Amino acid sequence: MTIRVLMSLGTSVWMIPGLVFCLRYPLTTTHHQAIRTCLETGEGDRQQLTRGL
Amino acid sequence: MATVIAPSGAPPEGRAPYSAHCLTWRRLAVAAGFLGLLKSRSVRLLMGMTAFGWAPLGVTTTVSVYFGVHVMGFTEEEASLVMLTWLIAGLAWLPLVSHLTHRWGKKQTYGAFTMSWAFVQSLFLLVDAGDLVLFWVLILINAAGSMAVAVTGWAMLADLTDADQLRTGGTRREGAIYGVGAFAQTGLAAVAILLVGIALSAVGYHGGDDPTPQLS
Repeated sequence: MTIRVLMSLGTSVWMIPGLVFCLRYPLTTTHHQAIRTCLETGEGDRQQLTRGL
Repeated sequence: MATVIAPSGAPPEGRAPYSAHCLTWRRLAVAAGFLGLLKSRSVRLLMGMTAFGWAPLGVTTTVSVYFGVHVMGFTEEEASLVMLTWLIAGLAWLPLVSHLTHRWGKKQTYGAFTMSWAFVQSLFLLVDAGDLVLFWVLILINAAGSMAVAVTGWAMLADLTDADQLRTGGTRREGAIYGVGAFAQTGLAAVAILLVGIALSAVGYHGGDDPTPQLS
């Protein structure tokens, strides 16, 4: 039984903090594209783009 | 007179060698640079995601052999093949992971696959010796979550490097970011495996022993 608990819940429990961090992570793909554009062309408000990062 | 140290801290060509004192400060500056990275909220969160995405992988690889032998009744060779199958199945999921990453975004893909991985992994609680079909189905589905978390985690580190470059006014620190990421992954995985080892020892599992008589 111990092995089954370790393989199932004992493994799953390690994923919960990762999920919480993921929900709070501020950088989305759209946000990253705007950052790439700003780095390449200089267009965009740098302060606004880096706020909260 | 100051001691000259070479070659690890060698200065650029044509410049005077660094003194030991200067070299110490340079090393301290590098260490401070690593710590400075962690001032960024997004760096801290992504390091947490990277580390906690990898730790379950360490636990699974450790426990799966025990699970195969003592729950499913496989031989040790067959139990080792479980991990190989899992890895190959993970590669088969890559096109879907890539498609969803482009459609939903990396963060959303990471979150969705972690949730599904946690759910599917929990179902191993229901698997018993005779449930071969359920066991292999779970292994095949489970591989998607671990592969997606591994792939999107590293891809997000690349995005974070760009964000960090903009935040720091042009300095690219991909080496430091990937280094801290790898350190966080392996460090937490080591802790997770240590805890699994302690748990296994506590209930009577020792290397090479058949625990059945002690547990029954």
